[in-house]
Amino acid sequence: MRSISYLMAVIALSFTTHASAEDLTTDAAVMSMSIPLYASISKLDDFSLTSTDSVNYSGSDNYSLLINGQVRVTATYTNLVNGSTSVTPTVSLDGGGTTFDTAVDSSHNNALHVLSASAVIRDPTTAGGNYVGTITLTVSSI
Amino acid sequence: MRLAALCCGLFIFIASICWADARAGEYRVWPMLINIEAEPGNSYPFQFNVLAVKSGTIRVYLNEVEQLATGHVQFIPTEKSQHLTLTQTKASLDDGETYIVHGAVTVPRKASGSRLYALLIEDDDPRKNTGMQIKVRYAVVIDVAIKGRKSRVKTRLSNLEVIDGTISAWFENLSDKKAMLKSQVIIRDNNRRLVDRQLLRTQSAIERQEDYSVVYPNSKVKVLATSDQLTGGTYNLLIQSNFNEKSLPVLRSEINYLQCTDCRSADALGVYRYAATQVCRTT
Repeated sequence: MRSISYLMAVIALSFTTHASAEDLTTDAAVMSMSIPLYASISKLDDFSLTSTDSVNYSGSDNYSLLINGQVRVTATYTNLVNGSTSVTPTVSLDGGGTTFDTAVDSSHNNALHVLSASAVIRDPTTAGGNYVGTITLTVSSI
Repeated sequence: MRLAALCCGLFIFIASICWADARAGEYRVWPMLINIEAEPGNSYPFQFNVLAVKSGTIRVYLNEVEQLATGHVQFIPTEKSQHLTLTQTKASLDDGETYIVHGAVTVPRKASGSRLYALLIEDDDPRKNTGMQIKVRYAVVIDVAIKGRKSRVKTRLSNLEVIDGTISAWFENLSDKKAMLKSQVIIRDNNRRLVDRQLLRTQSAIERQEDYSVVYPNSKVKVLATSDQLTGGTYNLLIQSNFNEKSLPVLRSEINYLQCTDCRSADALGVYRYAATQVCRTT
């Protein structure tokens, strides 16, 4: 009989302890989330270089950049080629150089940028015809 | 009636071909950077997503990453790597469709330091327009930091130059580990008075407005600083650097900063207003 009483007392005590523990402590969970860096270039099309004086040729196209962090956009390009004749263009991003970095810790919601190219034909005997070149825009995190 | 339907069908067919030719696929890629903490001898799967904003066929190919003197990187296409595999390198995507590219990196047993891979994603559309053809590609960089074996970081700082207020030096990372270089130049005059203190950074770090320069394994970069406090005279330059969170030996240099009529480099090139001759010593 006495042992049953002791057992009941122990159970009662454990309930009391449990209840008071619940009352007196708080628990916290750390919540975390990782949003990956993404990038997208859109609305960029091929373009032709045109001239009004047959010497200075230029062309450009606007494009939209959607990113959620810092990226680097780099333009590399080939000569404009027509058979065995080639012309070296000048390419720029937003009127600057061939590389630009978006700002640190900032997103870029479809901001408009411009890719432009120009070529100067100094030699009037440069062969006429259609010239083709390639500009490659590379988007990277480094 | 039948002729009209035929003409209409033909028009739609031709229009669809012209449309497909004029507009390449447009994509969104994420994540652009995949960090892997790896142990030698293990294989690590990775994946990234390509969403077709506009339908097209994508091509994924492996590139080596090479760091230029400016600190920028360039991607050089390479054949299949022994250590990086991709399950598929081409896929046709409809508007709004997301394709998951799966791959794995295997770290050799005796590897240490860090490895950098770049997977380039571009539209696989052989267009033949005249003028400037535009190609957009996304580089997904896989940065593998190998734990375990301790790699010894070895560096070299050399060729200090001061020309027209631009202070430059070459920094070499001779180890197999990528790390951050934080470097500053302290300029004192002949009386040891402080003249200027500037961060020395790569062109890439300057453009990114970062205080440090990332230097990849076995790369050599040029670090730069500008000072508008220099006039003709003798100066003491001290370069303090920290690489991979460890202090490097200080590079001290006494320079005679001269007007270019007296300067050999300026005589040769005829472009500098000021340049320096100096004796460097490392302490």
